[in-house]
Amino acid sequence: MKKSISSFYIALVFFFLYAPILVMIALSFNSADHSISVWDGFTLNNYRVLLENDKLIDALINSLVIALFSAVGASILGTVGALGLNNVKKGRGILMNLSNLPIINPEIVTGVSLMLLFVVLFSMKLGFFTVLLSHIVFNTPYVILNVLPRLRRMDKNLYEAALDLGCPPAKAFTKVVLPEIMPGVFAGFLISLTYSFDDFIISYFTGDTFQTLSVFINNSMKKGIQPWMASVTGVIFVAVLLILLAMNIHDARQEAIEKGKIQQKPPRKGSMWIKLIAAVSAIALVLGLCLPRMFRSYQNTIVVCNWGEYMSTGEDDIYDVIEEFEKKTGIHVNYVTAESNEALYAKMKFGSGNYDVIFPSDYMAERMIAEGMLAELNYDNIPNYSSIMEDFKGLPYDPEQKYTVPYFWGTVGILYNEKMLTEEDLAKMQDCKDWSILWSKNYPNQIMMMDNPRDAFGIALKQLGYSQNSTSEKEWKEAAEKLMEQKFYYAMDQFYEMMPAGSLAIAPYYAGDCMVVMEENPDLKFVIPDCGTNLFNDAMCVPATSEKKDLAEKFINFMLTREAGKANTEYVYYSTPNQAVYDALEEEMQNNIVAYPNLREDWDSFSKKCESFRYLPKKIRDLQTDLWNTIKTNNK
Amino acid sequence: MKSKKPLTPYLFWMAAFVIIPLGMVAYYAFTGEDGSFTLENFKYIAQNKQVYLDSFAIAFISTVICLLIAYPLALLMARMNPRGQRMMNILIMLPMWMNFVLRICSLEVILRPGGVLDNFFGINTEAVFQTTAGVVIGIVYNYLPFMVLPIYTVLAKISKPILEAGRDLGCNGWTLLWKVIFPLSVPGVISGITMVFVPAASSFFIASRLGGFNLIGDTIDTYYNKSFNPNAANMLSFVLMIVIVISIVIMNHFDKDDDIVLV
Repeated sequence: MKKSISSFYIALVFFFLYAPILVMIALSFNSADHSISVWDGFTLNNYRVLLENDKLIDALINSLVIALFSAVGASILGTVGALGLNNVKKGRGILMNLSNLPIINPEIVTGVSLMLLFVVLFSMKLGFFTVLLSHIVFNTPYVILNVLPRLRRMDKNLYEAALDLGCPPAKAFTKVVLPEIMPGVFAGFLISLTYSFDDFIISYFTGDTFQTLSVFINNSMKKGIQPWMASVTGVIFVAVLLILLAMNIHDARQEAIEKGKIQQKPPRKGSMWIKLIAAVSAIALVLGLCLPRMFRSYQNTIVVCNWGEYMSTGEDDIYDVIEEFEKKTGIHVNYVTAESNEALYAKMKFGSGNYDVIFPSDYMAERMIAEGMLAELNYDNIPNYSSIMEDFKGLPYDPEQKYTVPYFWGTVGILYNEKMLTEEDLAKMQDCKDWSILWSKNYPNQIMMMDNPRDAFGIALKQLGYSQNSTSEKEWKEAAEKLMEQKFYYAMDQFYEMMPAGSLAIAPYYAGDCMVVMEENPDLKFVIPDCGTNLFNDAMCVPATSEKKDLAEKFINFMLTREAGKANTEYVYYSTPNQAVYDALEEEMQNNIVAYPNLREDWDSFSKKCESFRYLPKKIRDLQTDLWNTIKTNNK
Repeated sequence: MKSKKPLTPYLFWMAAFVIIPLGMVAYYAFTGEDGSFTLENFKYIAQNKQVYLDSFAIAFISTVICLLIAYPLALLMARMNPRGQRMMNILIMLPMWMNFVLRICSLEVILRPGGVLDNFFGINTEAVFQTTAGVVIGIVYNYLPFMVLPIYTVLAKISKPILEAGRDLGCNGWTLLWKVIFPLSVPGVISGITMVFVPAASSFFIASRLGGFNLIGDTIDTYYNKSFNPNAANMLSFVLMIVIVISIVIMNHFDKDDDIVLV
């Protein structure tokens, strides 16, 4: 009876631990294209996609190499540290507490503080070495904590005895001390390996263009949780399970040998050689994976930092603009993604982002220009610039057109699910005057708000009849009150799965993304309220710190070619400001009023009601952050 | 006499990679935008008082739940035969290898409306998605192994003779547990609490994905990555660190032995 209760309890806990993993693995065989939680049919395709995704494999290898090296580094350093700490008598408590700081400290503090150390104090470029060092920092205390107790339990006289018997200290150490503490070192090594592989926050702050698996996955979520992420879970699960089982079998054997239950086989002839060859090839493999990461050639490489899923990079067997550019010019592109304009700004400001081409939005480009962060472009090197439509030249964010080249433009509108709205609301949406539907009480938990302060406040300000670029503190505070009136589902990437699946009824979002999900669910309709919206422009720029401006300009010029531009706009669905590209689009797209609201009959009067975001004064930016934190803290 | 040499390299390492970075945090916390000394950044603490309280409250609840789940499990594990123990160890460690981001995503896929529970089983998940309960589930799920392993490690080391002595002295199962086993397992419990409470209190990503609101980790991230204000971010980090370190040091006083027991 008692036994069955305990078995039941164990089973229950393991169900809790494993159900999510097994669900993910099950979903990795789901052939549904977008929403992975809707079963569509069995497929192995998500695993094939993994193999073809070079960036993902690269990130996975990055994670493995960092895990291995940092675990080795931490094991050595931790052993040295433990030996040292073991000798200390006075002040050991304080030293131990100091030594434990990296694990007692919140990870986010460790990440931030190390980032500051590397970038501000050491003027290092964030990359392989900074991530490696950071991982050694937080892994070392685990090794110490595992080794120290063993050192303490060890008979101190043993070491002295060895010395007295004429053993040199080094030999005494390897022959007497090391075997005693080895199990502790090994345990510390394993923990380090695990934590390093699992780490997200510290790598996120110290990695920049060097992305580990966690960071890569986080940056790939622009369009929600992807089916290939489920298959990553599957692959890791099987691999780790096999390794752990092999270790288990090895341990069991070892134990049996110790107990004398089975005889250890005498080493076969030549087994030394086999071991040696295995060791050498293992080292060669690791170095082969590692060296290119450490000493990547930066000579002919540019770093392009874009938003996630904002460029046709060939995942769906389509024109891969990066690959084509590399083929054509021989210039290598290191393509990375940033989460938001603000995150991009933060990286550049701290000097940690070493980008050559960036894609800031209008208001951020304006800010960067004002702060001298962008390089003046030489438009002679960008001949394709001539195909940019006149309407998109000399816009307020770069009035003299010296720093930017338009990439995409678009609007924010309301996407709603016809089947989920009441008759009355549907009628209202036919002639949508304002944004008030977002504050409806008819759809609890089914109304999304963009999880991005500038967009969310923009909508609230517009709804209140104020300018989205208001500089009045009173108006911003009112907008915050407005946002707090509703319990929104604050989200971004979740939009991609939850709107087509009918889990959300109403969501404001960018027109281009709305078009993507509308193709999946015909019940979804897009409307821009008559009171006006945000007209955004994203631009290609070169940071002032770039040392490869000429190569960067080549890249920008290539993005403006008809082929690349067409591939991009067809992949992203955002509206192109490039006449040559527009002309090459299919007629259906050319006439699509969601993508090209300038086709509206009332465009002249309507566009006057729309605004583009401008760079706001510091006072308002600070207020925006404070209000945003308040909103997000209280949205329970 | 033994030489103190081995400590020197480690001291240098600690100075460079532990102390100085924290000095940088303090520097930013107590300077303004122009780099001059100021105490003005304390205003950010006042503004974000609620987030601190929420974060510690949620971390506390999650830690208690983890402890309640983990202790019995660790006890049962420690009683198994060596093979069973090894197997259980593996099974507890394995989820820690699934990527952090993926673990949270999988919970999201299960819990959200239109997710696995809703879609396949027709279970309404309103109570556990975009709520505080959802965040607690996320934290417990994510950090449970960190509670089980240290407790198990300590329990497995309690020698049989001690238990037998306890029984001989007339302890029944419960008194044995309460008077003998639990006091011996305190170091493991303290490590477990530390290893769950600290990351839970400073967690980032979990609350914003599963709860739709921010905890202190997300707020610090907001100050860095959504509005570039390193002074505010570092002030919040600095205070978070002080509070956590002080509470850990106080808690460690309950433990006579100064070793933190780990896996």
